[in-house]
Amino acid sequence: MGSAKGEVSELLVRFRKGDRDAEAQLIPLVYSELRRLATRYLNRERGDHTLQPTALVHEAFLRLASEKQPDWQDRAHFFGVAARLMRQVLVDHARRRQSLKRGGDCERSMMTEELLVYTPDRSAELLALDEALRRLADQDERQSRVVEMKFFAGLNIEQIAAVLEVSPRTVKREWTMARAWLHQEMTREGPQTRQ
Amino acid sequence: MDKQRWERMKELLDAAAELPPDRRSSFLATACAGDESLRAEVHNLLDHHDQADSFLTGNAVADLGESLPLAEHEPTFWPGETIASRFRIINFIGRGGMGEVYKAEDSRLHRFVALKFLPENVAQHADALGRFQREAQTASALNHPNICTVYDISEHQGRAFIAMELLEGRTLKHAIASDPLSVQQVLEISIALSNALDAAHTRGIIHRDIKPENIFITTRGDPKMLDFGLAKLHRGDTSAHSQATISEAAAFTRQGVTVGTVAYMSPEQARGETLDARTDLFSFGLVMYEMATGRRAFSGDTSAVIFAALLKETPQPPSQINRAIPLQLEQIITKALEKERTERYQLAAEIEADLERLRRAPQRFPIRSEASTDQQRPTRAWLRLGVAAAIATLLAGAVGLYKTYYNRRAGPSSGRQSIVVTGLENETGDAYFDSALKDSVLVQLEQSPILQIVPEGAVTEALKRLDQPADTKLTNDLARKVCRLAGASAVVGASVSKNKAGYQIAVNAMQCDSQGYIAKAEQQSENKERVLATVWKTSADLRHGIGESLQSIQDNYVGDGATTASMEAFHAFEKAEELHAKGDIAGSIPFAKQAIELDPNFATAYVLLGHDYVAMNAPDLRDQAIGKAFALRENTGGGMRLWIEASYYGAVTGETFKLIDALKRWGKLKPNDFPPHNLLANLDADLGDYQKAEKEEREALRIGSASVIPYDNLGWILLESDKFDDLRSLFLQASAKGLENETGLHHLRFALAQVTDDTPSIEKEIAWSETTSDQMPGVRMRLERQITTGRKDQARASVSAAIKIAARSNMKDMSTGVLLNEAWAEALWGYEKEALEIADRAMSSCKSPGCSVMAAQILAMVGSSAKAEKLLRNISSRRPDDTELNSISVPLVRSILEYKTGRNEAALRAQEPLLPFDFGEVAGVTAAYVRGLAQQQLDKPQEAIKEFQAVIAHKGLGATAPERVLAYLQLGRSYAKTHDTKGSKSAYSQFLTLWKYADPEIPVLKQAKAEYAKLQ
Repeated sequence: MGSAKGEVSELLVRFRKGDRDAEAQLIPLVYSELRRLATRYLNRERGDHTLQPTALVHEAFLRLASEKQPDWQDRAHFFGVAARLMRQVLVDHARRRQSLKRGGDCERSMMTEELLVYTPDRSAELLALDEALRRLADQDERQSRVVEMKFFAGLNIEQIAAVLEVSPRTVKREWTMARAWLHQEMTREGPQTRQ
Repeated sequence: MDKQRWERMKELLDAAAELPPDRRSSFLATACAGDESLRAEVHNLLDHHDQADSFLTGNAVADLGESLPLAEHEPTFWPGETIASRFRIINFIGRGGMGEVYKAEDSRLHRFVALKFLPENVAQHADALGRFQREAQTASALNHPNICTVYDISEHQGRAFIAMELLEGRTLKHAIASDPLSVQQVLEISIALSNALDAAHTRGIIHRDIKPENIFITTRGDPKMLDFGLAKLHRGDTSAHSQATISEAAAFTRQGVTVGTVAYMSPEQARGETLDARTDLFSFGLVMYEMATGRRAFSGDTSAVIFAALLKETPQPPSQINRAIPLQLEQIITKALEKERTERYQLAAEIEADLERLRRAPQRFPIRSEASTDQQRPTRAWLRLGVAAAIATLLAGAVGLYKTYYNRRAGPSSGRQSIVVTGLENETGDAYFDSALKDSVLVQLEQSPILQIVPEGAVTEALKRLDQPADTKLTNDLARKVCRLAGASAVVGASVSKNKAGYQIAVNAMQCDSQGYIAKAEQQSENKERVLATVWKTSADLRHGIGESLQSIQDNYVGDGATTASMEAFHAFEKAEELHAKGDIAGSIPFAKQAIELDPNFATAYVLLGHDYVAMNAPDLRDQAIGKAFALRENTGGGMRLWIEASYYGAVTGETFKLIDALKRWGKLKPNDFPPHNLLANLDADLGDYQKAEKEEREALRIGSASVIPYDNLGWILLESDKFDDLRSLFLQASAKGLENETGLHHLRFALAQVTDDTPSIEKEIAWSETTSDQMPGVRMRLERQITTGRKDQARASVSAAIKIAARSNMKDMSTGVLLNEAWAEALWGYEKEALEIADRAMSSCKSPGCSVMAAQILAMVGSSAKAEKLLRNISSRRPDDTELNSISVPLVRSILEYKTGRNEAALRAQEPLLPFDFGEVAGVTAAYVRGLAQQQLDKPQEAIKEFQAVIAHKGLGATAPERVLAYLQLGRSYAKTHDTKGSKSAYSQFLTLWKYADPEIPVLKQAKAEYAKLQ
C-alpha cells in the first residue's frame, strides 16, 4: 500500500476539483482496502461490539492517504466515495454468503468438517435493502447517498452534511424520508419484497 | 413520481414527524387539502416512520458481523482471487482452529492445493513463522505417505498461509463420531501414524498437537497427519516449553478455546515442562484410546477438570468399554499413556513394532484377544548376509528360512487359533526324550494353517509378568495363566510314558480359561526308534481334533521327507542347523552328513547340507546335495518343497524364471514369509526391473522388518534406481529400528555419499569402518573410492590388504571378488599386463560361474581372447540352463571379445539377448559402456554419446563402477568427433576434475590429458 499513499492523496485532490478520471482511479484502490478491512472486522472474534463502519472507513483513509495532509475536506470527499464502496463491499459480502448458503456444499468434506452452519442472518435483508436503495436512487439520488453514508459508512448527520455540502437540517429531512420510504418498500407484500 | 410532488412529500413528512402523534392527522388533512392521494401516501410513510423503530439505526457492518459466530464468518478471499501471484482460489472449504482453508489452483504447477491462512496473530511472529516454516518443510521433505505435504509457506496481504496437499475425506474426529472403528482399522491407522510420527521424530520434529481433528482419513482410507509443528507457532511459543500450563487452563476456558484443545495434552505439556517427542506419543495414545473406545480417555466440562484428570487419573481400561479390544492393544495404549515419560514408549517405532506384531498375530479362539507373536529375531546367518548379488549368496541367506519353518508361523494369520505349547512330560526316565519331543510336537503343529504357536519370547515375557523365571516348567495351571497373558486361547501339552507294549504318546489341547479339553490324541509306539514318528502322527491327530480338515493336514504334514523318523537323525540335524545358523559352517557339515547317513531319505537335511556347501563355496558338492533334496522333494510338505525347488533352480541350475515361479508360489502359500519376496526383489533387480524389485522388497520389509536384510536389499534397489531421497528415508527408518550400525547399511551410506559426491559422509563411513573388528568392509569401501578416483597405487595396496585379511579369516572367495573388481578397473585404465595377471590368479580360485564370467570379462578386455573363449565355453557347458549367465553375462563378454577384435557390428549384435535386462544389476553400466566403445569405433559418435550419457545418468547403478567416471572421458572423445569442441572440453574437464587426485601415470589419464591439451 505504501506506493499507493501519495497517489490516493493526489487523486483525492483532483477528485474534489471534479476530476472524474481521478474518481475512476480512486475507486478500485479504496474498494479493495475497504473490503480487506471489512472482512477482517467481520472475521474477528465474536463479542467485539466496538465495531463501527466509520472506524473502517477512517482506517482505510489513513492507510490510503498521505499522513501529512489530513485535510478534512479531502477526508469528507473520501468518505463520500467510501460510503458507496462500503455499500458495495457489504452487499457483495451478503450476496456471497447467500450463495454459500444455497449450495456449494460439495467441497465441505475437505480439510475440515467444521461446517458452516448458518444461523438466520441479515444478509438477505441487506440484499433487499440494496434493491430498495436502487429504486430510491431513481427517485432521489441524494437520499440514497445519505442512506449509504449513514447506514453503510456510519457517518453522522454532520459528516454527511459536510460531504454533501448542505445543511445538517437538510440531511436530517432526507434521512427521515428515506428511512420511512425504504421501510415501506421493504415491508410491502409482493414479489420484490423480502422478509 | 414527479420531482415536485416528491419534494412536497419530503417537506410534509418532515413537518408531520416533528409533531406530536395526535396532531399529525389533522395537520396532513389540512396541508393536503384537495389531494387525497398525496395525503394517503404521506400518511402511509408517516406510519412506516413510526413503525420503523430500529430500522437502519444501526449500521450494516455491525448487522452482518453480529449475526455471525466465529466459525461462520465470511471467507476472507473469494473464488477467482489470486493469492501471492500464484494460487487462484477455487472455493472456501472451511474454517478450523488454525484458520481458514481454501481450495486453490497452483497456476505454476497446475495442481490443486489447499491454502490454509493462519490467524493474524500468528503471522506477526516472524521468528516463529520462520521456525515453523523450517519444521513444516522438514516434515514434508520426509515425503511420508501419512504426513500431509506442505508445498509452500508464504504471505498474502500480511496474512501467513500454508499451501499444502489437498486432501479429500474427513477428519478422524468425524470418523470416530459417526462410526466406531474396528480393531483392524484402529491397528491400520495407528501403524501408519506411528510410522509417520517416527519419521518426523527421527528428524527432530515434534507435532505437539496430535488430536483427532489433526488427523485426516482420506476417501481412500489413508490416514494423514496435518499441521506438524503448527501448534508451537499458533500459540506464539518462542521457547522450547509447552504452550499451555495449568495456570493457563482457566485462561483457555475464559477465552472460549474448546475443551478439545487441552484434552489431548500430555502431563508434561500440562505442567509446562520442556517437551520432547514423547509428548506426541502420549497424545497419540489418547487418540488410539479414542479410536478403540469411541470415547476420550480424559473428559470433563472444563479444562481444569481435564487437566486434573490427565495429571492424576488412570483412564478406564479400553476393554471395559469395548470388549472387542485385544489385551495386547490395551497394553500398547496403556503404555503410551504412562504419565511418566520414562515409563512410556520412548520411540514411535516401538509402538509401531508392537502394533505391527499385533496386526500380524492370528485370531484367537472364540472370545479373548488376538495373540502376540514375538517377531523372530533374524538368526546370525541372516545378519551376516550382506548385499545379495548372486543367487548362490542369496540362497545362503535362505538357510535362515529353514528356521522359519520350525520356529515361526507361516501362512495367512487371520482365522488362526493361538496356542501355547508346554514342555513334554517325559515319564520314561530316559533323558533321550528330553529335548527333542517338544520340538517334534511343535514341528507338526506349526505346519497347521489354523494354529498359531505363541513363541518362546512371549511365553518368557508372560512368565516374567508372573514373577517366574524363564525356565520355569509349565505346569497345567501355570500354562493356562501364561496362555491368558499371552492372549492365546489354548494350551497344548504332551507326554510320553513307557508301558509293556512299548511307549505311550499323548497330546492334548486345553482351554486357557477352563479345565476343559478341546482335543486329545493318543498313540502307541512299539519301539524307541518309532517314537518320533508316533509323536508326529499323534500331533496330527490332535490337529484333526482341533478342527483341521484331513485334506489340510495331508497338505501340510511333516512327513518322512521333511523330517525324519529317526530320533538320532533328528538330533544330528538339529545340531547341524544350529551350527549353520551360528555361522559355523564347517561345524555344521559333519552333523548334516550324519543325519543323512542315519536317514538317507531326509530331504531337509540334504538341503541344509547343500546350503552349507553354498556357504563354503563348494559348487559340486552343493549341486549334489541340493540335487538329492530336489529328487526327494515330493515327500515333503508345501513350503519345504518350494524351498527345495527355489534352492535347486537358484543354486544348481540357475533357471531364473523357474525360480521366480517357485518363489511366487511360495509367497502365496506362506504370505508371512519374507524370503520369497526378498529373493524375488533381488531377481527383479538382477534383471533390471527396479520397479517390481522395489515393490517386492517393500513387501519383504513389511513382513520381516526386524531383520536388516530387507533394509539392506531395498537400500541397494533404491540406490541403483537413483531414488536417493527414498534411500535417505530408509536410513531413518532403519535407524529407528536400531539397525543403523549394520555393516551393509554403512556400505550403502558410503555408496550414496559417493554418488552424491558427499566427501564428509564418505570420510565418516571410512572412519566408521576402521572401528569395526571385521576389516573387510573398510577395505572394500576404500577400494571402491580408490577405483572411482583413480588412485591406482592405493587400490593395489587395498587388494593386498584384502588378500591378507581373507587368508586370516578364511574368506578366500571374498578376496577373489575384491581382486576381480580391481582387475577390471586396471583393464579399463590400460594396465593390461597387470589386469591379466590378477585375472589369471583369481580364475584359479573361482568356484562360482559369476566369478568365472567376471574373469572372462577381464581377459576379453585385455585382449586375451583365447583364454576368455575357453572359459566361456567351460561356464556354459557347466550351467547350460542358467538364465542370467547365458542371457546376460556371457553375451556381454562375447560383445567385449568382438569389440576387441575390431568386429564392432558383431559386438553390438552380441548384446541383443541382454538388452531386455540392460541396466539391471547383472548387466550394470558395463554393457552400455561397451556399446559406446563399439559405436565410437564404428564412427558413430552420436550413438556413442547416447550410450555414455546413459552410463553417466545411471548414477546409483554405477556408483562404484570405474566405467562411470571413464564415461566422461569417452563422452569427450565422442563429442570431439562430432566437432562439438565445447561439449568435448566440458566432458574432458569433468573427467579430469573427478580424477584430480588420480595417479598421473595411469595410461588412460595420460592420454586424456594429451587429448585435452590438443583441444585447447
